[in-house]
Amino acid sequence: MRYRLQTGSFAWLIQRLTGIVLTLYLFLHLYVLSSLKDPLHYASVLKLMRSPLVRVSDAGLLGLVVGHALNGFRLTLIDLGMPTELQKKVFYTAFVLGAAIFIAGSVPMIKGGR
Amino acid sequence: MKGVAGWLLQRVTGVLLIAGLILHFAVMHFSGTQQITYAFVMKRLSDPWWKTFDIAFLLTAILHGFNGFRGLAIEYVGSERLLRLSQTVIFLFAAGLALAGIYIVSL
Repeated sequence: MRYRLQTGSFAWLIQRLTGIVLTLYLFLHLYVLSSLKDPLHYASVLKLMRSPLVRVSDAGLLGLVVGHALNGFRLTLIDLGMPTELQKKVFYTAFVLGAAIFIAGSVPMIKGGR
Repeated sequence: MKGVAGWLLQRVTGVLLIAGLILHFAVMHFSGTQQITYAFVMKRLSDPWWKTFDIAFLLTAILHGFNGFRGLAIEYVGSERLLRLSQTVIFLFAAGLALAGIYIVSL
């Protein structure tokens, strides 16, 4: 399938790519949780989770989740029959809202010591 | 499951996930990660309500994610045989992940 890169089709493409990454992340997330079987192992995993690299990846993950969720909500509104003339407005509103949530969430994530 | 059911499932689980995500993030991330110790996690997991929430949230996410994969397979895989094979593989991965998740959370 070919995409003409307008805001609408670009949003669909983003939705697919972020969806794939987020689903694959579930495997990683459950792997980390599986260390709960052993307190010592969990402590070492937790130490790793507080390393700078993981913190930055965590913020990236937040960005993917927020983007996918807001974009998905927007696409659902369109499917439910939102008037065409509102589409661009909703797109930019979702973008600004997403950016705000991402910044508010990622700053404490990266800074740590919360 | 035909197209419309898959589409509807994706919308419904998507909206549920937004609600679940807000709660999940509020508890796990904004309550302060220094607090997320072994004892903190185990205490929460020993509460049947949280355990139920965690499992329901996880299953919803798995359903949504792998239903998405299924949609991609339907759209991009041309041959009928290959499509059936990829749907089986997707289902097996989803079921495996769900079982592993339930096992881990209910430990």
